[in-house]
Amino acid sequence: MKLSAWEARALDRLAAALLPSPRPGVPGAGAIDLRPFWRELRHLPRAARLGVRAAIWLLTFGPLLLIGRFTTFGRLDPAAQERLLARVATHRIYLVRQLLQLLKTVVCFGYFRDPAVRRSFELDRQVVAPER
Amino acid sequence: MIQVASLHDTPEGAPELSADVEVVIIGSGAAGAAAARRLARGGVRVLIVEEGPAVAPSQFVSDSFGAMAQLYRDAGAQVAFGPAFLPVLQGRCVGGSTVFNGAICWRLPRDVWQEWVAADPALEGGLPWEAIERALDEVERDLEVAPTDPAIAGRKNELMARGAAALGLEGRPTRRNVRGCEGLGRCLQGCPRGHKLGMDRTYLPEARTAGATLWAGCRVDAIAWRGTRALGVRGTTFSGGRFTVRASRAVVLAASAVQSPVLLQRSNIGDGPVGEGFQAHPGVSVAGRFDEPVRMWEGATQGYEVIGLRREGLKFEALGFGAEILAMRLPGAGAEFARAVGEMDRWADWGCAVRARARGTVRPSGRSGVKIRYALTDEDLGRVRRGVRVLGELLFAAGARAVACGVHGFAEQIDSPKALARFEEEGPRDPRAYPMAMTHLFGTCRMGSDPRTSVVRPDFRHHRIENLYVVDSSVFPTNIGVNPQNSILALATVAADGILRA
Repeated sequence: MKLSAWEARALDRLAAALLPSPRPGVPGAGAIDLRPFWRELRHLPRAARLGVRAAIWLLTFGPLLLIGRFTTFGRLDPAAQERLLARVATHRIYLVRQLLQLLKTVVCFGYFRDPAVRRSFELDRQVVAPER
Repeated sequence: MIQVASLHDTPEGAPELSADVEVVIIGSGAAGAAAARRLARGGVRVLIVEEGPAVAPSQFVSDSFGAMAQLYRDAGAQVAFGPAFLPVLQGRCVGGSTVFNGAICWRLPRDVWQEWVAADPALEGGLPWEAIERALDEVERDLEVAPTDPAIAGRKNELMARGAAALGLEGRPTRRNVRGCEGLGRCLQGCPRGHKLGMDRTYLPEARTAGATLWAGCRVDAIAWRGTRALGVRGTTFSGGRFTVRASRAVVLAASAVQSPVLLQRSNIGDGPVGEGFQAHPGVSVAGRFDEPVRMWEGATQGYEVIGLRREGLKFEALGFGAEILAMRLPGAGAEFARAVGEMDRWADWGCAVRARARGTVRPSGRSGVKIRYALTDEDLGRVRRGVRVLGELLFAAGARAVACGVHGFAEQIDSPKALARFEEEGPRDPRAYPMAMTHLFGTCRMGSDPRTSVVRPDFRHHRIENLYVVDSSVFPTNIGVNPQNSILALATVAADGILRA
């Protein structure tokens, strides 16, 4: 399963809203190119790939499906996007919560692959081993 | 440790592979490797067939997704279905999960063996404690098992020690199978320096030096048998070719508590409770935020454990994994989540492995898939709640300013341990409220004297197919409440000794 161009763009938007810049000088998920990682999602088993796709659709049309507003996620202002995400995170339906968690997982996997992000958090610094 | 030029012996380019050996072993994880080494050293012509790839330490990657795609079954996305979706983590590479586990070493607790014997006294003679102890001693010597060196433990492990001391809970530096560990915190992605003494670095090279052959990237599709004799296996190579192995002496199944029962069922060897009785150690984790940097992705991966509540079915470990795994555990979505990620170096995530009583099933699904069904019992969920409470208390006792339990229906973050006692009593009874994952899988081909309630005899032989042996953790009658690597190695060694005597 390969994400369509529309789904990849929607996933970009969702990632940007889910993980804005964590602190000054560190890019948010919207400021880095996650497309190469989206293509790697083909390594996931079919059920997980379907889950990612379902999460994209659910959240993109979340305003309509979850709060009854006739618009899409990308057209909401940032504050409304934030409120919608908070609502989904604590939704009473397990599957809905799980889809957001799956999206969070995928975004974190992609985000922390970025070299600039890894440098910002010093994730690959060489820890000096003790003398033996 | 023996160095070998290549990691496997899979012939290249042949459209059809075939081999004639004395013993074929299915799976190269802890069980398969231990059996292979023992048998090869006993002069037996052995072929090990492994579905996953052979990956050298220099090829291990630092990011968690890349590592999961490379080394884990289904890229780490295998799930047990039930009221909740529970990830089930397994290896799919040469060396199995010994390549990327936390290197935590435990001896099989004697009280667990006594439970087994109490339920089926025939096990006392078939699987004597003295034989297990001898094999455990050998494994610990071979794998250089020793407590974690405080010099490379890292802050997360020091903090857990502090928390345990403050609460008066028994804890200790984890005993691990490493040599020259530098505290890179990369165990779960595979140690890039090769310091972890997994099967890929120890028993498999030793087995090959003793004459065993290893085929990687070859999935066994079925065991061939006639009457009461196993004849060999047939399967598919990574590139889609076919292979056949004829085994004159024995077929040894060591493919894990998920794959072994599925392979038996696909081979029409579904006698007894094959695929039933699936047990595991569901794990729940709690994150805590400290004032000081913790950098939980650095230091010995799981270098400290709290063991004082083991007999209650609870064992606690300081976790150490990639930053991306920690991040996805942090609370919120959007700005709140970003804030937590921004101060990620101050968070620690500690886990509790639960000796759950629940028993599930493992069945084939489609052409090559599996379907795992599993539902925690009310008693198990009580243990989970207690585990969450103790994890939170440990974090606060270690100096955490805030704790995030990640439990739906409970506060996202709490800043004092007071709420935790009430949580244990009044927390959610619904497994869907808890973020959990399962490791350590058991019981789907369990050992016993009665063919109606067990799949293999106390000497690891199948009840009906006399030269078919199952030697992995699927034969364990129950889960064991501790990390099973060394118990699996020991029992597979005992099983191989039996094959040599047969």
